[in-house]
Amino acid sequence: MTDLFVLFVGAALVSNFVLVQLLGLCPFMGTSNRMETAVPMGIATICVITISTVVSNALNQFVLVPLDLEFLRIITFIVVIAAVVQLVERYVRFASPLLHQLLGLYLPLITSNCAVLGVALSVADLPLANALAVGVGAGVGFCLVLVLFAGLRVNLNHSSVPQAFQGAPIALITVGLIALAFAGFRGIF
Amino acid sequence: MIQALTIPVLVLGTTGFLLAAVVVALDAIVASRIPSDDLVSAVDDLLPQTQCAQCGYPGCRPYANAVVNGESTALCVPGGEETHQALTKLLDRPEDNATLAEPLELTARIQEEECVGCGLCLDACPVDAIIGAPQFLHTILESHCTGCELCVSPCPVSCIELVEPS
Amino acid sequence: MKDENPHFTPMDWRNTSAERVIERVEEAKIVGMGGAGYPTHLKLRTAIDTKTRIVIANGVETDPDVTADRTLLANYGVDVLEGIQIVAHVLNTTSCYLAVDEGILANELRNCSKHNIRISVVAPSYQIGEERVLIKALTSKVIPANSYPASHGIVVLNVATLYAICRCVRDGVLPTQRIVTVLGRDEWHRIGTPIDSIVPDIRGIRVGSSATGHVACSTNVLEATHNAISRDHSTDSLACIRCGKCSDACPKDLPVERMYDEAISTALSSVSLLDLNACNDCGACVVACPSRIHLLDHIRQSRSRCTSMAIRDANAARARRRHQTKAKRLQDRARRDQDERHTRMQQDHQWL
Repeated sequence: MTDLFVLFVGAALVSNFVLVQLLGLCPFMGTSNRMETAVPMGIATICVITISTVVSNALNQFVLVPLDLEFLRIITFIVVIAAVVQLVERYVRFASPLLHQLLGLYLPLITSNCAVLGVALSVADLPLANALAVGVGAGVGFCLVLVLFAGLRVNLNHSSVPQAFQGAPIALITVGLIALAFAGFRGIF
Repeated sequence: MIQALTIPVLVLGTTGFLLAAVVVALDAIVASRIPSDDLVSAVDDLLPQTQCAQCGYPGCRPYANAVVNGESTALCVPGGEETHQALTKLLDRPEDNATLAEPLELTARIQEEECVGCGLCLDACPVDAIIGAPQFLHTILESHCTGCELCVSPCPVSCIELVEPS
Repeated sequence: MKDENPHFTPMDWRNTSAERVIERVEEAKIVGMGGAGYPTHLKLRTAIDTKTRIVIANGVETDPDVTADRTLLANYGVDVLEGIQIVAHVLNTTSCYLAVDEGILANELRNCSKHNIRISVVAPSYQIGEERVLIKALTSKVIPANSYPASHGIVVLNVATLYAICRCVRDGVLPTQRIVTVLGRDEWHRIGTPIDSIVPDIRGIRVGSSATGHVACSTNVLEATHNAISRDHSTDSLACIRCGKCSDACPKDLPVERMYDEAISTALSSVSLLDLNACNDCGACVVACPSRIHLLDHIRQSRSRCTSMAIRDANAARARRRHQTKAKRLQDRARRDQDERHTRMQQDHQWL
């Protein structure tokens, strides 16, 4: 149990996939403009990462490894992720068409979120329970930094930024500063 | 050699097929349920609710419905540029080039000495802001009037005018 | 003080019933002169029914450029002390406080006071003038935010109000004048005097203190709650340097800096009306701002903008409701007409 918790915290904070491993920056920058999109996007990503990690881990352990087909990992995992994203997309469109409209292209683009594939690949050889802990942790970590950053960007919209830094540059600088702050979590373990 | 090729292809193909089957099955379930219309409601909430029909639709809700189905966002006259921009922001659409005029806040007023009590304006008012009985003087509840102008043209003696709210 | 002829017969209040004294205060239409303008007789009537009753005289001057209350205490301290005794008599209590912010003034007042009024010197800080803060400092009682001190038996009155009470009860004089700090000098002026006849040039002038007052215009007159006419320091304000001192100074912990950002940008939608309504216009942020930005003006402006937006939304919601009701009524009527026509046709068929 302690192991799982350590894995969870490690994936969420210490080696956060966005800020420490620098994966999945595209949806991170794209959907953090507004709080209304950041929160649902974060939750959607939690679902996708958790489900796809577990499914691909099981697939790896029970199909690919016994058949000695580990070279098929990347392409199989991508198929899994694409299917899970489609499921989530269907669900969002069904539950809230407004949210579907707000998220737009970024929802199907979770497929190409490299954090999702990154998590699935990095835990492919772990036992299922550990993979689940890392998957949930990575999702929660992504959601956390996305919401934090969206909160900062809402404030950035109101502040007087020098012209050369307006838009993406100041946002990237802010990401860098949050990443520095997250480096502090390395002291936990 | 053949086996080395067929096993990976089979494994990948089966995985893909099974997952696709799940998605398609879910699609079928979702399609059989009626989708909620909260997007239309969200658009409707941004409209000024004057029910003036100046957009060409009989009220704000029908126009909201049309906007969601691709109608231009720049048709709402009483909402003006503010509503136009709010709609484009909500729907993430490019702005139409038409710049809308600053909307005027007006209310209708019946010139009481000229009203003949015909009651045609009662039917025209979309928000029941006109009260009166046939053959009696009508009057407009100014606090409920949205200034939609729909009562102006039906009046046979042209006794309704739009004025600045007092 | 200009001479005033008594309007009422002078009253020997020590031998008069509390109700009669309150009636006199009501007839004289005395209101709180500290800023809120709450009718004093209502405050007294609320407090008279409670268990523990405390009178607090607020002589603390917090705005940097206002000295009216201090001057009043220095010159008419005896009258103010008698005003406290009158209120204590009305409330039938002996626990009375007078809070001042100068030691010398307190000593002078102690010399002329032979009563049981506790004269305490409070540490000068901007917030101490606010009644809840003052109550906490003097009696260590905390008044919940959703109720008034008077309903807990604590009557906080400005010294100018107490002076007015004393004059109207003891001497029968109506409170038609008040002491005002006019650009640094304390003068008596009649309430209702046009501001531009007190200060000829009203450009760059605020009615009230420089922190909480509003920009004077030619139609303004002196009201009972105006304790100062001061110079507007914000006319040559500089750009915001984002130091955050306004947010630090705010006693309600409001994000003043952000509220200012949102007030000057066009996107007002994210300003929460909750924050704007929580602000009690104390002006601490204005005093704290090193760039002399009048933050309170901006907060007041966005508050009125937000309120008008809320009114517009409410009107839109009502219009939609009425439109839907009308549409349903028309639909129902059409269906009823059709049904009637149908039954009539059937009846005609039967006859045939």
